[in-house]
Amino acid sequence: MTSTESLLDRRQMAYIAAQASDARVNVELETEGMTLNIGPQHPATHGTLRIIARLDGEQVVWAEPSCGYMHRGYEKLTEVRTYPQVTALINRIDWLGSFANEVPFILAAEKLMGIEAPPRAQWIRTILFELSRIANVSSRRCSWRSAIVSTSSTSSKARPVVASTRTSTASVD
Amino acid sequence: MAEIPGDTRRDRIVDDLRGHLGASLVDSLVKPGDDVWVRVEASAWRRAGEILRHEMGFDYFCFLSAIDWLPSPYGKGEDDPTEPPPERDDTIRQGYAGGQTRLQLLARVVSSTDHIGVNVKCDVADADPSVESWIPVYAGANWHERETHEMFGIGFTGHPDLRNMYLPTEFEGHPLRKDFPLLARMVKPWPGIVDVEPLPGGGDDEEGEGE
Repeated sequence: MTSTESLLDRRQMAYIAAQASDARVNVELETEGMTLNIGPQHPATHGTLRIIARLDGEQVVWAEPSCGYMHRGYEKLTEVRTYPQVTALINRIDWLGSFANEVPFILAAEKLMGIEAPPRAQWIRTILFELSRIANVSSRRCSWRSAIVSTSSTSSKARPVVASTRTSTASVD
Repeated sequence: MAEIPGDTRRDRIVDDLRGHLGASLVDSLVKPGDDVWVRVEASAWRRAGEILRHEMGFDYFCFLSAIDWLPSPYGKGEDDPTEPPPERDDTIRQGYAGGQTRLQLLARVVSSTDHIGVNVKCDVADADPSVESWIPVYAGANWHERETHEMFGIGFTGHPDLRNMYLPTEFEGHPLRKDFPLLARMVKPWPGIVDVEPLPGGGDDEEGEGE
């Protein structure tokens, strides 16, 4: 009769339609469950990591990480190297925190040999520590963003119908 | 000599542990202001973990690994490959808190309230290197024990899943044992210490007389 009534009707209709579409999406999500192999090469991982994930719709119900794809066994390599040569290996453990790994090794080697670094060297270490910390934090910030984008884009490959609307917003971000 | 304040606290930790373990605690070393080192018998390995965790409050499991004290039969990196290897004393010395066997298990636990670390070692027999798993005490020991198993060949009874973690499943041998050859070095010998260059601008760019 009045315009307000029809507006309410329309709202109600819209609500029902939304509910129905939600229900349809939910039904679509209730899958048999699938096993998804992520990696070892994957843009979201820095390095290589394989994750065997069992999915139930959007939920990961079980996951098993499988590592060792980049394992070089540097403990073994150090057996045949001198201390200065080992430093070059140690700083490759984590290429974002190379100095943070190198210094503990150097300190251990110095302790074994009974050496104390001169004050100037210690100050330089402190400065380098801080610089490496800044570099580490800022590059991690950037990599989180790229990791988020790349994970969402692969999940859209796994479930093209349902996830496409969500990932498009995520990858625009 | 001023007494370092942390000293008596660490002595007390060793005394406490000895009170619980008795003769199973074989040896100990207290480094003032630093970690405590204890060596227990292999049969008391799990018991030592339980006591440290539940009775003495060492709630943080830092790591678990092993040490192979055998001097490398393949010489050292600084050896000249063209010369016969120099004579070396190849007796096995086990470091802190002593020991009898070539392979030793090593774990470190920390008390998050006292901030004191305890290194627990134990001798494992060469013939049957096996101890009880620490998983019921520290769940985080799972992967550490897997790695120790594949790298050193030490068994952990009660471990649910001792598959290889880093190595391929069909890999044979235990790479971190000293007598496991580093294949890359066997195929192509290291040229020796020739990659150390003299400092630039020193004036003596020629290979000097050493000094």
